[in-house]
Amino acid sequence: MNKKTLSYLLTSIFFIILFFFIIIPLFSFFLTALIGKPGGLYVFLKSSSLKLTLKYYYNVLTEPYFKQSIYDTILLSVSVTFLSFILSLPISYALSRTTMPLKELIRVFLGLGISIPGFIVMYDLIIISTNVGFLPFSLYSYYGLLTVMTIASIPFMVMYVTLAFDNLDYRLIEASYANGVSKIKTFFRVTMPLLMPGFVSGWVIVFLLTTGTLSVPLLLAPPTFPIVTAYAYVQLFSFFNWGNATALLSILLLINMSVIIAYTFNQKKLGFAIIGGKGFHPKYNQNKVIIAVLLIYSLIIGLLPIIEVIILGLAAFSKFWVHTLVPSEFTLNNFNAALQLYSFAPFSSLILSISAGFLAILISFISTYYTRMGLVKGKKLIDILTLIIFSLSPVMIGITYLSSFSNDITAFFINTLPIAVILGYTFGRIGYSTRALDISVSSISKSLFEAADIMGGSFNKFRNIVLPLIMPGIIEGFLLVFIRSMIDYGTTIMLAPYNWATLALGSYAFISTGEIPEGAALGLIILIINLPIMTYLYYRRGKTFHEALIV
Amino acid sequence: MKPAISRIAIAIVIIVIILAAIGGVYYYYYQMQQASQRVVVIYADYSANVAQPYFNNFTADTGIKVVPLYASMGELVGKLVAEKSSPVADVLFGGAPSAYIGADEQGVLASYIPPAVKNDQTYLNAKSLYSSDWTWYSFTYNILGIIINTQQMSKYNLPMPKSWWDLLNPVYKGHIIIENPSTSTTTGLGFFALIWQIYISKYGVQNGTAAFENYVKNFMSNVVSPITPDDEHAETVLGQSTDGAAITIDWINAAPLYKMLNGYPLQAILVNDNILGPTAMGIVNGAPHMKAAEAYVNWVFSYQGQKLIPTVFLKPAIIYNNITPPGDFPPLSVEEQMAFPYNQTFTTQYANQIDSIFNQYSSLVQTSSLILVFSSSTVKYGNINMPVFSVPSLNLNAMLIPTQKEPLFFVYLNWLFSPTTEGTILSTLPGSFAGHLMSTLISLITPSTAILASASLEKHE
Repeated sequence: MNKKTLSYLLTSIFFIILFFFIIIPLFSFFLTALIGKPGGLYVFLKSSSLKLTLKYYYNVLTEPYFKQSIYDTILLSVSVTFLSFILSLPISYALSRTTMPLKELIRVFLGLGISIPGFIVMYDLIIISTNVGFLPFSLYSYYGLLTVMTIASIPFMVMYVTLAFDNLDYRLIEASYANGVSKIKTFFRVTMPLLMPGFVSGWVIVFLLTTGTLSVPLLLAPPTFPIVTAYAYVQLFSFFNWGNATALLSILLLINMSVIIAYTFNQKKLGFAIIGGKGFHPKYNQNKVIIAVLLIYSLIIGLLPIIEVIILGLAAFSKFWVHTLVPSEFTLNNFNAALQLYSFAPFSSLILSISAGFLAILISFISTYYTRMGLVKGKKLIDILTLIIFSLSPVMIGITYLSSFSNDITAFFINTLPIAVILGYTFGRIGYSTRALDISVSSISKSLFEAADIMGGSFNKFRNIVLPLIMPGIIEGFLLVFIRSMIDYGTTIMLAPYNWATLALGSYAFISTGEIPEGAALGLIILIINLPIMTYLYYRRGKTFHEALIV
Repeated sequence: MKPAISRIAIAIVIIVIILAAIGGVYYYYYQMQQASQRVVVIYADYSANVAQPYFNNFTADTGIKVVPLYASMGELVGKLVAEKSSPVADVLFGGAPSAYIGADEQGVLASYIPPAVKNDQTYLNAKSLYSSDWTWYSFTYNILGIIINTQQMSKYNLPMPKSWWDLLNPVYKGHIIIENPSTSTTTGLGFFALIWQIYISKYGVQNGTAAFENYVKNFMSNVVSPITPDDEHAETVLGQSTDGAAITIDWINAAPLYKMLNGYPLQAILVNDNILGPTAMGIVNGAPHMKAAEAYVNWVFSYQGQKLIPTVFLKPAIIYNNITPPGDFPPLSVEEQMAFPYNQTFTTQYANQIDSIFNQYSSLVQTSSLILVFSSSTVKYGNINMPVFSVPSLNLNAMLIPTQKEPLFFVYLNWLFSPTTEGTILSTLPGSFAGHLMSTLISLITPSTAILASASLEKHE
């Protein structure tokens, strides 16, 4: 088989997959806003009584409250993106470009921050702010939302910005200086273009993540500051108004799409044409004062998740705990009670999340590495599609998949096998892994690919040359997909077959009915599972990168 | 790169074959399971710790295994609607009738007349307990009340509140916690709707609304900020309180329930001007295990199923006489004993009263946001003088009839309870749209309010 045929074949297979699991669900999503009922394409074609209407879009575009929710959502998302970027920059710089000690520890601390389900963090915060009153403003306000969502976004931003710093090849900067270019000019013409891919990826990811977040605004957004996801959720699950809910969400989706398309098509213009390679010659900042300041700062930010973990741990072992610093009585019964009802949940969570992690990496690998190699065409379209579905909140992905595939032809897969839930996890979070791998792959010098090709392209060469270079992206991507799947509630409740309840599902069920200790116990088990996996992979990531430097 | 690609391709083919094999075996197993009716999938708007013992009893009695999914009513109904083409669940269990009306409109509930109530004229006469097409039916009910933490009440030397109006007393400042009324059936559609309706019944729409908003302002100044996201959270904070939180508003079974589950020192106080809130269930349209679903519904209405309702859910049974709580049931207050008529049930006479009132206003159900029906008669219980109209043992003088425009009331509450406007509720709202929204809502909500009388109002003013 020649390369051209292989390319057509691979591209076709890949787009068929994307068509089924991204385009059809998205089409069903927009269709719901035009017919006012869920059911997807299959149901629409089968039923003659369903008529297309624009009245839901008319409602959304004419009612001031709907319009305000769109405006407020954009305002909040931009603010969160900006603030989390500013707060993350020093940490990422320290992690990548200095000899700061305790790097792995800080990475694990931040990783913990994304391992705690949002609904647990919310309850923690509500308890703390009720009892301690530590915030100078109401938690139920724009500033409350900004605080909570910025804290939640920092770990993501740090990951992407760190990858950007990792890819900075200092030889290019030195070359610039050697040619007599001023420092300022070098910064804008050389340094920034090299950093931008990672920065912009971080901005886009955090922006999309914030627009799609549901649990925080659902509890915190005051009526005077309506947020689209929360308002649509109430429209959908309290009033069963599918038309208004999806019309509102699809307006937000269109805004997100324009951001994604602008991002995708301007990558080159932003200076993403990497002429160098990996940061083979990293210049580490060894200034002790700067390192000490950065270490203290990183530890303070890194300690925020640790405080959340401590609260979670105390709640998991508590019998009585309100209005005191620590629980007044402890018990182990919460674990017994929770695991008695959800005995298969730890296995279910692991199987589903690991599968989603691997699948996401496989698909992201094809859409980044194979497109770079020219074997799969249409990179821009792939990028746009994966980011669009990523911008939907997990519960909307669940609903969209369910209404697309729960019909008499495909229902078997939804109802019995955990295939739909794995695909829901994968495609709902593929934005993470694709962005992470894209940063790694795009930073590799084209000459290296050619060298690998010339050397016969054996699997060993691939393993020895390419894999170490993209391993940080693979690990970050896998971890993000895995961890976010472990704590997923929205997609799980909609798509998991009934004997595949996960830890996060059980935890949410307990917490939402006031059984916080049992919910915290299951939340803590998620962390106990995540922690060694995360620690090992961060250790591997460091080692691999080190090896890459030697190569 | 070709060998690498070939290896990946081979690996993918092998994985696909393995997955197909597993899928085949699973499919066979699934078909076998579908064929059997020994399983019933129940979507339950309940806490797992509470409902699981009830399900276990059903399994012990019938041999049918219950596979539950515990979540909020909105999410469960949303899921039912999305999987309508190929249903997974058999029964929707728990939650207020208003949610069932919404679910029924989406066509996810099947019509089924449980034989146990088919010939029970008492039940049949209480038409607000079930839908006319039998897509949902209430199996228990509840009464709104004030829940107190007895230890905190003593510690802070707080007087026992005896009415909704007592809660305005500044002595309770910082001692009341409530769940967010903007999203809550309990405090929003229940408590505040009740207070509002009482005021407009006395003063008319405009002045009554102003008086209600004044009540809200004074009441909220006694409430600990921030309000909790749900009543379960409010009960947890109240039950574990060591620092002054002593009072909340909830359905009164919460007190014995949390006393039983967690040992919280809670007690329910039943007050005048109250609301009955039924809890319903229904069979899912196209339920995969239809026979098992019917068996479950029939069991809930059976003597055995009804007998367990007081002990498991700590709510009254809705049919069958002589159902008494077991010996280890937590000691009940006088008010709780009155509220839970374990040894009584609806009588035809009282059911007829409900029926006639309901029928008078049934046409409004389609167009109203909410209907509260008030009583003109009073009955004396111990030292409490209670206006009642329906079941004397229930001490009710208002009944909440679920309607299709309930959501509008929540929009109004959302506007009213904006935390940023707390304390200055009426005067300083920004923007003209809020005022426009407000007047539109009032006009939509109020004309259909059904007021029979308001005997109890006089003494509040």
